[in-house]
Amino acid sequence: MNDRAEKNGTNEYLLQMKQIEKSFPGVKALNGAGIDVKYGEVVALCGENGAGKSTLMKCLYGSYRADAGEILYRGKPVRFTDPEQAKEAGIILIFQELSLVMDLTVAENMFLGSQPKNGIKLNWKKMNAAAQEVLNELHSEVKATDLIRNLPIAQQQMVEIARGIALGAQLLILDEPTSSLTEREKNNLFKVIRMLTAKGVGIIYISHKMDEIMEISDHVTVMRDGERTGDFETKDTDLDSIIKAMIGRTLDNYYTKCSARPGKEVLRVENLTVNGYFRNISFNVHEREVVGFYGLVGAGRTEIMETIFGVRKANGGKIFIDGKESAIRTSVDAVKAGIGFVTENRKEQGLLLEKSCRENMALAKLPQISKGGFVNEGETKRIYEKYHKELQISSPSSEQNVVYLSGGNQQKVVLGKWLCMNPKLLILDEPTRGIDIGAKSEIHSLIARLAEEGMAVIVISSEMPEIIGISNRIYTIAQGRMTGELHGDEITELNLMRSIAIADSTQSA
Amino acid sequence: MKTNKWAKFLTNNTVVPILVVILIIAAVLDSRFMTPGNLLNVFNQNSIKGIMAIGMTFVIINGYFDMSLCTLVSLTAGLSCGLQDQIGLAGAILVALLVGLLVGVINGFLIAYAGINAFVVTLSLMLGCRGLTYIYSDEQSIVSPSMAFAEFGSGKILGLTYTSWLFIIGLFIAWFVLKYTAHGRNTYAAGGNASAAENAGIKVKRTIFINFVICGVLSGLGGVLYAAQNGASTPALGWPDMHMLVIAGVVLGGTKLSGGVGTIWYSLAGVMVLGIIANIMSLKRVQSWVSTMLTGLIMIGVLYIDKILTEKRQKEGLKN
Repeated sequence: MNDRAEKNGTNEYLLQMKQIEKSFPGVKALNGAGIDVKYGEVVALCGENGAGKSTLMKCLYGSYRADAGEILYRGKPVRFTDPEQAKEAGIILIFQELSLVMDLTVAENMFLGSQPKNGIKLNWKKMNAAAQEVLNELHSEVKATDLIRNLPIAQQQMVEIARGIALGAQLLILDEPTSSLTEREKNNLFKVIRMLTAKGVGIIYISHKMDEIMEISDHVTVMRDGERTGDFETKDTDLDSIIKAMIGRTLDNYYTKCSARPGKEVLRVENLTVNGYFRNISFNVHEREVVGFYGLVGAGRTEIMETIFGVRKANGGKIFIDGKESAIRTSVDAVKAGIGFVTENRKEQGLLLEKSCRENMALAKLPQISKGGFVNEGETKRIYEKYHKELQISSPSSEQNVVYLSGGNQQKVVLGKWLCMNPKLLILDEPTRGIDIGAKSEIHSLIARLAEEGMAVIVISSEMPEIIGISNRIYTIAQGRMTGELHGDEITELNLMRSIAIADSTQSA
Repeated sequence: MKTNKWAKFLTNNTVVPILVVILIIAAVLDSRFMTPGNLLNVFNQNSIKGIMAIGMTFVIINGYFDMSLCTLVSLTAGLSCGLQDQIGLAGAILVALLVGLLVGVINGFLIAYAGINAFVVTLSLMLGCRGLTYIYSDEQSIVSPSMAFAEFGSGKILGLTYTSWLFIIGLFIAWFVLKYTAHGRNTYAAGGNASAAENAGIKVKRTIFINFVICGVLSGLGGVLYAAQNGASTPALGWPDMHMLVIAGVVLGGTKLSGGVGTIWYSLAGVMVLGIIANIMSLKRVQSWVSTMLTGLIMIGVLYIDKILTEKRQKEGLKN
C-alpha cells in the first residue's frame, strides 16, 4: 500500500511524504507514516484521535522536524524548518480554530502582514480590489470591506480559504473544516474545494466524518498508531474497509470494568433539548453502572452534561433524579442534589492551580465545613488525608500547589474534591485527557471501584479503547442527536464507528 | 437608506452622540459655554492631554496601557526648565524628549521582549520617574530662565495656542499612520489577535515596542509643553492621576482597552468630552473634587451605554 507513489509516475504528484518517523520523549508518534497528493486531488487523511494525523501535518508544515523519511513537494525534496517557509511554498494549513483578527476587514485579514503598498502608504483600493477578486472567484457573498466580527463562522472560514488562495496556495490542508458548518454551508465549501481542484490545487482533508470523506475525497489515506495502514481509491472502496484500517488494534486488557449488577435508576433524561447544541436526548443511568458517552468533539456531549448540571438552560425536556423531576437551576443546586462534575479542562474549570492540594480538595465542601465564615482547617486536612491515601495521590505534602503536580495527580485532586461530597452521580468529561498511561489505568480502576460501591457514573470520552474498556453501556452522540445505545457484546469499535458515521450520512441524505 | 447609514454610523461611533449630548447639556446649563472664546479655550486647555492621548491610543489599540506617563511628564518638564542654564533651551528640550524616548524604550523592551506584565513595568517606571524627578529638582519647582520658552507656551495663532496646532498636526499624522501604514494596521492586528498576527508573519513584539516608544516620546513632549505653558515645572505635575485621565479620554472615545479597536478621532472626542465636563463645572463654580467625582460617574454611564450598544450591534451582525 505504501508503494502507491512508486507504482505511478512521480510527476503527477504535488506532494509525497514517505516513511516519516518522529519521536517525542517516551513515545514514537510517527513510525512509517506518509501521504501522497496528486495535483488537483482531494486526499482524505483518516485515523482516530492520537493516530498521528496532526503530527504528520506539522512535520510537513515545518512546526516539527521529522527524524527520518522523505518529503517531496512538486517533485523536489523539501524540509521546511518553520511554517513561514511552507507558506511561501504555497502550503496553507487552515486550523479548526480560525486565526482571524475580528475587528479588521476581510481584505485586511487576507493580506495581513503583506498588504500592498505605495512607498510607506498602504494601497487600500488595490487591497480591497484584490481581495474582492478572490472572493468573487469563490462565488462568496462576502464583501472585502466587511468586518470579520460581523460574519457568520462559515463565511469566516471562507475568508481563511480566500486568504490561502490570495497567498498562492498550491496545497491546502483543511483540519476538520466542517465542524461548525451547517449542511448548506458544507455543500458550499465542497463546491469551493472542487473549484480549487479543477485548477490543480491539491487538498488534504482531515476529518472524522465518514460521509464527508466518501463524498469529497478522491483518495483516502488511513493512519493508526503513527503508521500508514491503508490507502484506498474512494470510488473503489466502502466505509467498512476504511474503518477496519483505522481500528484493527488489539484491545489491551488493562481496563477494568465495573462488574456489579446495576441497581435502581439514579438519573433519567427525557427529550432534553438545548437549541443549537442538541435535541431530544433521552437516556438513563443506574446505581453501580458506568455509562459511556461516545461521539466526536463538538457533538454536544459536554453540553448535555452541563445542562444536567444546571450550567445551561434547557429549551425542552425533563430530567429526573431518583425518579423525581429535577429542580436544578444552578450548579449549586446540582451539587446539593448529589451530582459531581469533573470537567474537561481541569486547569481552567476544575482547579485553582496556585493553591494547595488540601485547599483544592476541600473547595466544593467549604460551605459545609465553615462556621461563621471561617473554614475549619482541621477538617480540610482530614479530607486531604483521606483521599490522598484512597486515590494514591503522589504529592510531597498537603500544602503542595497543584500547578506542580503531574496531569494524573491533578486529575486525582479534582476527583478527590468531588468524592468528598459523596455524590450519587459522578459525571466525568474526558477524565484521562493528557494523562500518562500509568495514571490513566489507575483512574480507570478507580471509576470501576466507585461504581461497584454504588455510585452512578457517566464518562465522556473521545478515546474509543477507553470508552469500550470501562463502560457497561454506551450511548453514541453525533451532531447533537442520540444515534445509538450499545450493550454488552454490541460494544465494539466497529459498531461505535458505524453508529456515529451512519448518523452523519442520514443527516446529509 | 440615508437615515439608516446615519444610525449605523452613530451606533458604531457612540462617542459622537455622547459629545453632542454633552455639548447640548453644557449649552443649556450655562450661556457662557457656547461662545467661540470659551470653546477655543476648552480646546487649548486640553491639547497637551490630547497629544499624550495620541501616544496612549497606539498603546491601547495594541492591547496595553502605559501608566509611566503620570510622572514622566514631571521629569521631562523639570529637565526642560532646569537644563536650560547648562545646555540652552534647545538642548534642554532635546534631552527631555530623549528621556521620554528612553522611558518608552525601556517600557517597550521589558514588555515586548522580556515578556514582563505591562501593568508592573509601567507602574515601576512611574515610580522610578517620580523618584528621579524629586531627586533632580531637589523637591523644588524650577522656573524656566528662558522667556522664549514661556512665550511659546502661551503664544497663539487664530485663537489656538501653538500647542493646539501641534496637537492638530499630531492627530493627522497619527490618523495617517494608523490607517495607511503597515505599522498602524499591524497595531490593530496585534491588539485584536496576537497569535493570528504572528501567524501572518507580523513582528508582533516589534509592533508593541514601537508603540511604547511613541507613547514615551509623546508623554515626554507633554511634560515639556506643560513646562512651557506655565513657564516653570513642579515635581507634583501629573501626580497622581494624569495617566488615568489620558487613558480615560482614549477609552471614553470608544477605543477598547482589550485592544484591536479604536481610532485617533475617538481619542480626540473622548479627551474633549472630559474637557467640556471640567469646563462646565468650573463655569458653574462646582468644587473641583465634585467635578472629579462626577467625571467618574459619567465615565461609568457612558461605557455602560457603549457596552449595551456593542452587544446589540453584535446580535444584529450575527443575524445578517
